Amino acid sequence: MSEAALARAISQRGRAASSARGHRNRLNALEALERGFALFKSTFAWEAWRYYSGAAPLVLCFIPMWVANGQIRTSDPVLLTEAALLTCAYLLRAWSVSNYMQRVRERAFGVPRPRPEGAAAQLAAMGRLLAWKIILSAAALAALTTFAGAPWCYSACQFASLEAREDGSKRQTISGCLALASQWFGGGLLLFLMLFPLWIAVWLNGFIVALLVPQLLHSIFGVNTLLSTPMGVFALFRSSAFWLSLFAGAWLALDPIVKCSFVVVYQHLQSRREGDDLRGLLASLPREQQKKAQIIASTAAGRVTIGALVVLAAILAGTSTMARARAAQAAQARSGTETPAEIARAAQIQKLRRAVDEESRRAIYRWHGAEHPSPPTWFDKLLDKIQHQSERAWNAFRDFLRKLWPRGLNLSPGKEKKGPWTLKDLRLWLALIAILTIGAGVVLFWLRRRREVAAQLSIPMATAPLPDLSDGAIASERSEDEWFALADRLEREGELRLALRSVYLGLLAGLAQREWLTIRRDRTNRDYLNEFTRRWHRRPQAALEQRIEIPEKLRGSLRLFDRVWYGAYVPTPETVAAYRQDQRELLNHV
Amino acid sequence: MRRLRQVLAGLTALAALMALFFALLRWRMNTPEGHLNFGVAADDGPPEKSNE
Repeated sequence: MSEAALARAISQRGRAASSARGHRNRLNALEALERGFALFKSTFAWEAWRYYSGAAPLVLCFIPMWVANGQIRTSDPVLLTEAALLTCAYLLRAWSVSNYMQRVRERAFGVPRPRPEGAAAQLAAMGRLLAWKIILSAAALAALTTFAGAPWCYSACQFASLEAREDGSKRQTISGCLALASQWFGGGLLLFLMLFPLWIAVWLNGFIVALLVPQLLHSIFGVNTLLSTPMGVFALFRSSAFWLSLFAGAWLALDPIVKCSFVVVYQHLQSRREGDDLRGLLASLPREQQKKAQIIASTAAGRVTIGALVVLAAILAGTSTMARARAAQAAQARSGTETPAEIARAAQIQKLRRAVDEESRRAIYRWHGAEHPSPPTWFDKLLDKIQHQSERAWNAFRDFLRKLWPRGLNLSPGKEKKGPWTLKDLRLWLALIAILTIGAGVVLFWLRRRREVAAQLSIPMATAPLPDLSDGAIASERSEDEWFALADRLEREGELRLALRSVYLGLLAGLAQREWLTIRRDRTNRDYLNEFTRRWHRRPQAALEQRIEIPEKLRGSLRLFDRVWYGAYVPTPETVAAYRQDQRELLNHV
Repeated sequence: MRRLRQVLAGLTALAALMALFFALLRWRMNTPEGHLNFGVAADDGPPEKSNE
């Protein structure tokens, strides 16, 4: 064989070996998630506070700001302050989450966390972390359109939390994080896909709790909240803050587990990069042999097997006698010269085995092992206890149902009398009552839905020509002239109350058009009056003429409207005409 | 020099993030909606209790 052919054969063999190593020793997504869960559980008691104390301020600041800015008009400096506060919260989050991941890695795998020396090094580490995280997060969001690109950038962003703080001899870069993510691209994609059902499950739990708790408070304790009314639930559904809170809650619940999964993945990828995985495999060989021996010893307890083994051993002993004799003759020839060398060799082998055994016990190989040898924490014990109790409760409930269900019940015709069960059995009655109750509930629910649908169909037909005058914010949808024209029409039709309401809306529209007030759904008449009075006193000619009668007139108009619309005062045609005339005059004076 | 560049990169990223937050909050303020507005639910109650 030529040298080139030999080299090709060696390279092929090497590729095959590395491929086999890759297949055998690659961490899959499910395994990573499982190990992530285990790691989160085992480090929860000591490290989880770092994550939550870092991540909570951003959420707790953002949602109230989101709510307040939708309701209150603020100036740009206030907005800038809010943005600065959120940025600081993000800074805290990035730093704490990175700390959390480093500490979890240190605790689980014994890898010392990087400690940059000096303020300059720390500032540089912080700068790297922020720049990498923000760039990779933005890239992940932008790559969502391509779907496959998103998990890649997302994985790189998680690795950045671990890599960016390192300031040693190795020069870490953002492209290094991306390269690391691409080494586990398939796993990252699958992990990303697997996270969706988990996110949805947590999100649904929060959603059900948010809907059920007010209803339960109402039905059990009689506590009336806005959310226990149908319109309250409707308002909640329309609230973007509610959806934001739900998403934030789901994210906060699962994110630390994802972080722990990526710590495991990072350790796995690092060990592949630095050859620790091969050393780990080598180190695990003696353990695996011990396990195999234990399994064989435990399973080979049967007499037949032992007998067969004894026979087999006897045969082997018989056949190997000749070979052993030949080997002994050869060994006698060499024994005089090679015994010290063999002893030294045996000592070296023993030393190597001990070294390998010691090496295999290092924490950095722990991701290879399925179990975490650290002792159970209080959280593990609590979870076990809860699980045990819930299993007991579930078994008791299942037994109760089983007792209720009539045994020997045969619903096939003509065979009723053959079974041991009769109609007098209490359990059948209970089952029948349950079925009838459920059926009646379904029918009632269906009837109610039908009635609601019919009501929804009939109401718009009756009121279709008129706008919904009960909503104060509708005033800005028409001009004052249009409102006054509508008031004329309603007055002619005899709808005096609605006509007065239309005049009122015309007044609001006219004042808003002249920029004396801003119409908003959440404002009351008192708010409108205060706003108008404030602006009236600030107008340029206020120093020359006060004209306090205008706000007083407005106050009187609003009071009359309140008495008619919310009170028991029944307007007459004269009252409505005078009211319309007064509002026209008021608008002419402002 | 490398460290200074990294610090500057971090500051730039933070400034970009702050600008993003500012734009988001400003957009939110200029496009209000009915979030957490229980006026609708309050209107559902008896008319005497309404304070419009």
